[in-house]
Amino acid sequence: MTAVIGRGLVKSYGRVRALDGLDIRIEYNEIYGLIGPNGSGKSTFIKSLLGIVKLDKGELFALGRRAPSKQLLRDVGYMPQEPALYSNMSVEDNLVFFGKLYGVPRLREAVEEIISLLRLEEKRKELVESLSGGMQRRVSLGVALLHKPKLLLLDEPTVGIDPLLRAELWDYLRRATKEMEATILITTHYMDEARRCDRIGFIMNGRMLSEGRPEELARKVGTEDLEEAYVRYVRGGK
Amino acid sequence: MLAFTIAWRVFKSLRNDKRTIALIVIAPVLIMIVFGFAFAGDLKGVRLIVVSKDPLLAPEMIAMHIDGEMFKVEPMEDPALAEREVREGRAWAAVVIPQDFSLRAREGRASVQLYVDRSNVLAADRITAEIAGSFSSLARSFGLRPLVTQNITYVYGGEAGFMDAFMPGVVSIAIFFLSIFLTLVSFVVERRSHTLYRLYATPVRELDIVLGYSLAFSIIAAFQVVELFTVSILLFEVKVRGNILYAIAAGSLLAVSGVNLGLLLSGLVRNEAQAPQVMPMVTLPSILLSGVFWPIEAIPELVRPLSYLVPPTYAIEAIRAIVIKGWGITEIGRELGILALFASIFMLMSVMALRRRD
Repeated sequence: MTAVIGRGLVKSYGRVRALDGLDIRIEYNEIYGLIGPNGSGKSTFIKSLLGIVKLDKGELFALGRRAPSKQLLRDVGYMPQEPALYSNMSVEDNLVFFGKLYGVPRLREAVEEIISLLRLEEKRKELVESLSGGMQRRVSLGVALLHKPKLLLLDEPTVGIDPLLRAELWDYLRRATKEMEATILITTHYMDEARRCDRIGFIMNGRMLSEGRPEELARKVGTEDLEEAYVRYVRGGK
Repeated sequence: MLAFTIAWRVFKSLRNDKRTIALIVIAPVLIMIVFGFAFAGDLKGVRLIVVSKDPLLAPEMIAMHIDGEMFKVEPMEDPALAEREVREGRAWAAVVIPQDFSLRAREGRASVQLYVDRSNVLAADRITAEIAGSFSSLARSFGLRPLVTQNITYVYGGEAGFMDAFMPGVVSIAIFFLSIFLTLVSFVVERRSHTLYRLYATPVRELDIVLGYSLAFSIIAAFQVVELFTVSILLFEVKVRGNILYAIAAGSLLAVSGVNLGLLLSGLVRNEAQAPQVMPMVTLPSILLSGVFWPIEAIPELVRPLSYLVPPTYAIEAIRAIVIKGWGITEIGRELGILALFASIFMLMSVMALRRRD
C-alpha cells in the first residue's frame, strides 16, 4: 500500500527549479528517509505536501487523498527545520494551542504524554524563548506528534538534539510506525539515521537519483558504506 | 576618523535596501503633499441654509455677499425646517433673517439668527466668522452701517471646547494606528519565526486566522476606547453626551479594518525593523484625510474622494456625534454600517492574501 505518491513534481522559484520532475513513492507504515544536499528540494517537497508551497506541475497523493488538502492535514504531523513555536508562550501553552487546532481529543492527557515522552516536565511552564535550541526542537517535535498523525513529516528533526534524545526519538518513531501505524518521512544529513530508515531516496537538484533499502542502494554503486554510496550518487547526479 | 567608516557602512547597507531608499525619497514628498492638502485648504462647499423673512432681501441677494466657494447657499422658507437641517446633520449652519432686517440695519441695530452645528469647533468658529463678515458686507452694500449682531444658537457643541471636538479624532487614529502596527509586527514575526507556515500545516483555515486576529484586536480596541475616554474625561474634562457603548462598537469595527490592513501590509516587509517604514504610508494619509483636525469640506475636491476611502473618517464622524451631539444608533447607523463594510472588505482581502502561496 502506498501512503505517498508523487509523479513529475515541478516547482520553480523564479529561475531556480527546486523540484524538477520528482517522482517519489512512500509505502504505508514505513520510515522513509529523504537524503540530499542543501537546496536539493527535500523541504520543498514536504512543503508542497502540506500546501505551504504550490506545485507548478505534477500529481501528488497522500493517505489516499489528493494533496494538499485541509482534510489531509488532520492526519499529518509536521516538524519544520526551524522551531516554529510561539516564543513568548510557555511550552505547555504551545502544545495546547496546536492541539486545539488539530482537535485532539482528551487534550490534557495528550499533552502530558508528549511532555513525558520528550522529557519536558521541568520546562513545561517556561517560555519557549528561554529554552536552548535543542530544547526548542524537542517542543517542536512534540507539536508534530501531539495529534498522533498517520503521516509524520520531519524536516531534519534531530539537528541540535543530544544523542540520548536522538536515540529515544528513533525508538519512538519505530514504535509509532508499529503501534499507531504511522508512516514517517524524514529528511536528514546523518547517515547513521539514514541507515535506520526502512527505505531511503537520494535527491539532487529536485530529482530522485535512486530509491530503495539503504543496503540495496549502497550495493548498487558497489559499496557497503552508505556514506560512500551517497557521495557517489551525488557526484554522479551532478 | 572612524566616523567616515561608520557612515560608509550605513550607505553600503542602504544600497541593498530598496524599501528604505524608497522611503527616504518618497516619504518627505508624500508628507508635504498630504499636509499641504489637509491644512492649506479652507472650507469649501459647506451647506448653508438661508431663510429670509425680509421682503427687501431675497436669499439670492444674500448669496451674492456670501463666499461662494466656502458656502453652498440653499434658500428655505421655514426657520424651523432650517434648524432641523442643522440638527439632523445635513447642514453646518442656518441663517434666519428677520422681517425688519433692512429697517434696523439703517439704525445700525440689525441682527440675524444663526443656528450652528459646533461639533467641529474649529470649523464652526470659522463658519460663524465668515457669516458675520458676509452680513457686514451686505449692509455696507446698501450704504448702511455694517453692524450686524448674530444671535447664535449652537444646535450642538455650544459648551464644547477644542478637546471635545479633537478627542474623537485622537481616539480613532490611536486605535487605527495601534491595530495596524500590532498586527503588522505580529504577522511579520509569524512569518519570520515560521509559525505561520506551521499554521498552514494544520487544519486551520485562512478565514479562521483572519477572524481570530480580528476578534482579538477588536476586544483590545474596545478596552482602548474605554481607556481613551476615561483619560479624556478625567484629564481634559471632555463631556460625553452619548452612550460610550456605541463608541466601543465604532472603535472595534475600525480596529478590524486596521488589523486586516496590518496583515496585508505584512506581506510587503521582510522583518520587524521594516515594519515602521511602511506605517507612515498608510497612517499619515489616514490621519490627514479623515477630518481629525479640519472637516472633510476643507480638503480640495480633487483629493476629497480619498477621504471617503479611509475608515477613520467614519469612526471620527460617529464618535464625534456620540460625544458632542449625544447621537445614538439610529443616527450613526450609516457610519457603523460603512465601518462594517470596510472591515468585511479588508477581511476578504486578507483571506485572499493568506491563500496566495509561493
